[in-house]
Amino acid sequence: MSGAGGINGFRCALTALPDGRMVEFAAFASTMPGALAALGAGALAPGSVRRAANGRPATLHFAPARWLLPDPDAALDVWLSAAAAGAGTAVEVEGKWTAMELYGPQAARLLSSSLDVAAVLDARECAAVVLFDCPAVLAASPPGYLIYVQSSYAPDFKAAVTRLCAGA
Amino acid sequence: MSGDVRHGTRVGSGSIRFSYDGREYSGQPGDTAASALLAQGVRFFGRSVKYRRLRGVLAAGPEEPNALLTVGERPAVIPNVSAPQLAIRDGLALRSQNRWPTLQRDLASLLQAGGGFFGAGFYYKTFMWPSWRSYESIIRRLAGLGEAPGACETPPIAVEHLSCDVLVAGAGAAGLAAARAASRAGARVVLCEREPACGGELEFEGGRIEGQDALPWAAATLAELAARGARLLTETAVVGGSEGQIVLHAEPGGLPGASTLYRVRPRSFVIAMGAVERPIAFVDNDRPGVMLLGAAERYFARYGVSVGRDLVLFANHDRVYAAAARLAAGGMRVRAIVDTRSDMVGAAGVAASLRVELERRGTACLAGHAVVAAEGARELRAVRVAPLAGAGTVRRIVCDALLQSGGWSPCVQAGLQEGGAREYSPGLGAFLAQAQPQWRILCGAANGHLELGAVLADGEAAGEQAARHAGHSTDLPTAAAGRDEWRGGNRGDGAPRLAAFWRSPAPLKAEKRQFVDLQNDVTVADLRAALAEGFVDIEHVKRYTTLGIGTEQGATSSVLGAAILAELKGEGLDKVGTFRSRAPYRPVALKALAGLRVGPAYRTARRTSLDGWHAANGAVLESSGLWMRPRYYRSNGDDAFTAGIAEASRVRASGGIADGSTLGKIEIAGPDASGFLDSMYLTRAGTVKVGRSKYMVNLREDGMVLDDGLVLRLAPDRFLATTSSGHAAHMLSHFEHYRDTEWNGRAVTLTDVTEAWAVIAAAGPQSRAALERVLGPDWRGSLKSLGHMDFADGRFEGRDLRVLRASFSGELAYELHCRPGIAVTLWRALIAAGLAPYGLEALDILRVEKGYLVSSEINGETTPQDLNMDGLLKLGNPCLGRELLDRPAFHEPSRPRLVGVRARDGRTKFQAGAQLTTEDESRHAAGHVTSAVYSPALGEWVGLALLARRLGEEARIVARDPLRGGDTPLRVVPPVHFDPAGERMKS
Repeated sequence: MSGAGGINGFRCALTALPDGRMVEFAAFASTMPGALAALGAGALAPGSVRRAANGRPATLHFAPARWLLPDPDAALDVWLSAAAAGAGTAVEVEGKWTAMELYGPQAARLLSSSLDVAAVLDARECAAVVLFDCPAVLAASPPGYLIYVQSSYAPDFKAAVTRLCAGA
Repeated sequence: MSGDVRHGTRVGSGSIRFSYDGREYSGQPGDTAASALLAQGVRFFGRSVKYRRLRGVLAAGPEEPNALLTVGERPAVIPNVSAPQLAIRDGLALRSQNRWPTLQRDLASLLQAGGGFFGAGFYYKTFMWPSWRSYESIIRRLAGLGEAPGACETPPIAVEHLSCDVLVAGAGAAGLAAARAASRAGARVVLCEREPACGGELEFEGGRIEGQDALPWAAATLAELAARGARLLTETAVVGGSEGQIVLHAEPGGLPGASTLYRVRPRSFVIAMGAVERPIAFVDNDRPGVMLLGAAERYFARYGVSVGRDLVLFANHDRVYAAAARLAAGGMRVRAIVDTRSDMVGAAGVAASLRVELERRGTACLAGHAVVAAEGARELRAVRVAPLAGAGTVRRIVCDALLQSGGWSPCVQAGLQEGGAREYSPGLGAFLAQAQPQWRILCGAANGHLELGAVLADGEAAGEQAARHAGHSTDLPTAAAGRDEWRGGNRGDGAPRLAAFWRSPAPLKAEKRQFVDLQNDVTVADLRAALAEGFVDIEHVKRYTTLGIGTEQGATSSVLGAAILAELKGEGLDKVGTFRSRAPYRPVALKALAGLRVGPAYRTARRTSLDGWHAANGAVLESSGLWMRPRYYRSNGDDAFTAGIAEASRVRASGGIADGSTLGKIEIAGPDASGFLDSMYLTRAGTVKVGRSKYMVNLREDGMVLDDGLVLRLAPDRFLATTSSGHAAHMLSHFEHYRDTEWNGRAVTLTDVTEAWAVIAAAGPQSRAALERVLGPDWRGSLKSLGHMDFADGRFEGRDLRVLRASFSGELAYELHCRPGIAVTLWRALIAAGLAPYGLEALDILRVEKGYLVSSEINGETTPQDLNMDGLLKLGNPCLGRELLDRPAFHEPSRPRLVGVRARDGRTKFQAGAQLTTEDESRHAAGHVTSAVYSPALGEWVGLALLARRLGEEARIVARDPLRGGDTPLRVVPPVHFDPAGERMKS
């Protein structure tokens, strides 16, 4: 149970991840889910995340028929080359998304200043969202979140989070 | 009284010091400003807004119309803080409102004397000569609630978005029962309560529930809810909602500032917000000392405050007897109970036995009587009571508090959103919400139940229904049995057996002292005047008289006003109805509604990867849509005009670079990409060779030009379409719409790559040489061989780089599309190679000189023919919007045509937006100037205009611009002002 009391500064930290190669894969409308197994696409509905061995997201099914592939590995690259003609298209989008990590005991509460993350990620591991008026792909990454913000919005997104962390 | 330690459900031991109107007072932890001041004998809390009559406390909640205080010292004041809601704290400085110079001696209160009261509509009729403006400043100074803050630094607002299975608004008996039932069914429950403590009327009404006293039951229920993971938000009220989202506002301590705005999306919403007690109108019913009965009980139960020593109770229902017994038990002397009913009093049940007992102790119980007037020059000293039937004696009863209760108005506002309506319940003398959607359930007093057993049963049923709607199963037979037990065994004060009574009899001339709305000084006389003026609808009466406006929002006055209006009209209250409730239901600071969108977060901006460089190097940034773009660089001039000319001149003389990263970029890929683009553009993309680009134009379905840009063919099945900066999101959406409808099932994908590519435009005669120096030998061959509209892909600093030879300036020019990570490096290298940055001001000069189009010309109202794109039309591509271009209306002589314009004298300035007329027809616009700049290349003002086709180049037109510059005779010229043959661009 809790009361209310305005902003007192949320205990969490936002850190930027290094820039790197990123690919967006978009499937053709006619593509069957089975053809996209390499992306971890077991279902048509978006929301799944396939993780690499190091636990980092390898593919994020962030919107219908759309995947974000942060720094795809060699195997995925081979699949992209081979599958592109039949299943969809891969587009190099290095620089489009700025990747950040948000960690801390109040990370969820901070994000809920903008949208209900608990509801958004209730049955999903990732989703295309708008956070503090900034388009982003949000992925659960216990004990925090990975956030891919459209790069032109990233400075203002960081500023919004910083203000909330500072209680300003 | 002030020296005693008070005991109540909400006050603790200790002392808190605060000031009121400059005098020091003390209270106890948990006290509100109202309770602490009442406890120390303070009766006056302010003056009324119109007549400046002294006012006391009427209520114990946010419905309080009178006791609004100003908190803080000038200029950082917070006005209109409700004293019954405001928690005191050490050092709090409070002031009464609507008085000058002091509360006791108010100059404006003289308005009451002499001419009497100003009735409704007085302002509109009286202050007409010589003009309203003559009086406006005085009236505005006198009017209004409190003073506006000059400066007010309040803490930032918190915002929380959350969802749950069941949101229960109100933690009284019904709300607690509903929350517990839903929680027991497995629902995730959020319970909000506007007060700091839960229980509602259980705090003073008592009764036994499930074998225990009411308050312990409430505590046990809260403990169970906590154990089940329910979330309780206290001091949090429902203030509005729409489309399934409910907005809650938490205001700790009742003071605007560190508040939280909750945006809740529940699957089910239980409205258990109780009911607000109503006053009764009688002469001078606004005297300090006249209070709602329930409020007096709350002050006593919660804070141990006796609101008077000698009480008279005035009501129209049975509950007054139980209340009288409790107040008497608390040490107050109940001198009389004035009951407007004559044939129902003490007929049966709890009330009958209580009445007998009260009379035995000396309380006069006067059935069929009404309080007809209050006495006392400044505060209540006595009341006059008269029988309602016959010609009995008018009694005078000395008292210092009159506690009245005219019934209850269920708080149904939250159930009236999105088309909800009220219906009148004669048994309650109140309005209830009509049928609700399945996800929204009213219960308890908000649903018209006033007896504790029924309230609990209704609450539990609502909780179960809400849980079921949220997808949880409930054990119906068991739950129903439980409700039956409740109905039988938890009577509390019993049924009120109310008989509607709205106002006491009064002579006509005294009606101007029968107050209906105490906050706005609306009287029975005002309602009568409104009717006489022809304002017969309740909504019109509200606006004419100001009934129910302000912070109180009609909580105590709306039904009372409607009922008296019905009486005056001779109609039923069900026919008159009440005025519509609108969110917010209670005052919310605008800052709270703004949430996080204040200060630097007011508007999110998009920034290019070169933004940091621009800011650090003297760029004056301006918003262009959401983007922040350099308008000019201070190093080139002190203002935009000077710098723009310098920057544009340098581009034509040598060269310059501009940040074009905001250009929209969409990658269209797949086997069907070419066909798809053919259907979307006025000319065919399929004819573009790989490595080439083409200027292309989109139409809307109605044939108007939507956007233009370059389309680059990256591969046989892959294209990059550029769009204007402000149109990027719309164009992607436009493409997606047609891809998913007309082209559904085809193999084509769309990817927004706007931010994946920074764009640097390098323009000017030295641009090629500069690029060769910067990009090095690997690129030299490519650069030399690039023809106009060709592009080449390669690498720079290990990252992707695409060089496109295209011009938006009329100069030899290149667009460098690079990965954002190398944009600053490339930008700096180009500067080192001799190309200086230029901003939007110069960009505009260069493009107007060349007759290139932007949104001023592609404004949603122009066709390709209007914009001289006849050549593109001749290609005959059957694209979207093409067919409607053949409409006859598009070919009429009045349609516009893009032309160039220059001042006829070759030197006079004219501006975009000026209307164009001919010299002969100065009153009929023939077009307007869309763009105008001073051209350093031509040494005069040049512009583009949309001019009626019937007017040729020989037309003698005038730019009419009366607000900015007067009239400028213009001559019509071709739109391309500079280098019409394009020799510089193709050099």
